[in-house]
Amino acid sequence: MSDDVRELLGRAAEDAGRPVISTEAVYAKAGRVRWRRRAAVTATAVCAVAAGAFAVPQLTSGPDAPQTSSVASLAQEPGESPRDVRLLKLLPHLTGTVEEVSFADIIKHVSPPPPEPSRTGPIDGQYEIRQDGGVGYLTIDVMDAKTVARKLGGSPQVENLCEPENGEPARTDCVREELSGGRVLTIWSDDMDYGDGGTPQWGPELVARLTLADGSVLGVRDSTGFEADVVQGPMLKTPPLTRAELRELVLRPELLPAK
Amino acid sequence: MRSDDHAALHAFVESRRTALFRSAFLLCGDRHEAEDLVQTTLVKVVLGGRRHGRLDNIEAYARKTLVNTFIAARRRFWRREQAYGEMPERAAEAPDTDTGLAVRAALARLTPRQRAVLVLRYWEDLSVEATAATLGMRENTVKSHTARGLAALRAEMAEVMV
Repeated sequence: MSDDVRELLGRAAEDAGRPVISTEAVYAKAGRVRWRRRAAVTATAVCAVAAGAFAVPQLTSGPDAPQTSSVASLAQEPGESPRDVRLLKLLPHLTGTVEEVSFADIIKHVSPPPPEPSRTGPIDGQYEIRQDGGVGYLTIDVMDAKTVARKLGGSPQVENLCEPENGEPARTDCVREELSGGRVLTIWSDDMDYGDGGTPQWGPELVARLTLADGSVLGVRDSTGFEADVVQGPMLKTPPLTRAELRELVLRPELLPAK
Repeated sequence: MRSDDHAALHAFVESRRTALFRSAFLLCGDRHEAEDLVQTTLVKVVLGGRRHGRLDNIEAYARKTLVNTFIAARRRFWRREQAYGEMPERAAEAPDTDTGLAVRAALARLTPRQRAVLVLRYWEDLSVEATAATLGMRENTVKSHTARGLAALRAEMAEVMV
């Protein structure tokens, strides 16, 4: 019996192929983590000795602070407005700026940059929102029913996301709405504090999921940003969009593929 | 940390990367997440080895870190059902993709802890006792997770496992 199981697991594991991470990448990452820890200790010591307000700016702007970087806009299809421009038009209440970014670039620092991902929705992408001196993020991702099924590995979609599952606590501030046309909209808060020690460490966010009658799903993350070795700027105090603004955005037909 | 410990640590990372990646893939069913899991695990191993200045049972430490990182990450709903920032897919090397898919579908129906138990027991060949120690569970819990996991696999793979 155990040999059979091992053989089956072996067949499933064969699909994995080989990892692309290298030993050098592991050591480089470990070096960055060590550097950050040392920086944090140094900054703490500076605060303790100085015991003054002047030490605080050093934490955010001194040499020990995370590096900031800027990224160029991603390539756009010819003849179309850039996606970030189209998104901005859907966010009338937003006071900040919107720029499309790639998490592969700004978080994983993949080099050379990976090719453009396939997009199902016309505005699918990852967007940096700069406002109030900080940087948050919006991600928009439409998945057709086939992709959803593949992601779930054959498991059915969860009927009610607001109910606890698998013994885990229910999602925070979760609101589920049944809308016309068989659509179901669920919005909840996620403090993203999972204590798994990885980077980046994401800040709190609002998450919206709109499930359509055909089984496709629109997901939007409304994030305060993240902490990592290299960041685009400090995190926002609250997500870039309020819950009402997020709801309004998720229900915009412009986010869905044309019929 | 002595220089031969450094060399041993480096050799461990170099030689066990692919094996850990395969275990991670069985746990999460997604190549990109498996990459993240393995990288996080190996970074912790490197930092742990340097911090403690010794490398007692590094294999067990890496395995424990991998499954616990996976279980913690699985609590993050978004990762469980929907990845963001898709990286390009690599060509699959699967000689028996249908069976592989069916096994992964069966694993996906299990809770993260049940999946971890099956992977540790039957892929990593750990005993009930060692699995319980790795996951911080009682041995009876490991046994019940094993039974449920096998039942799910059996149901999914009835034709293959006759």
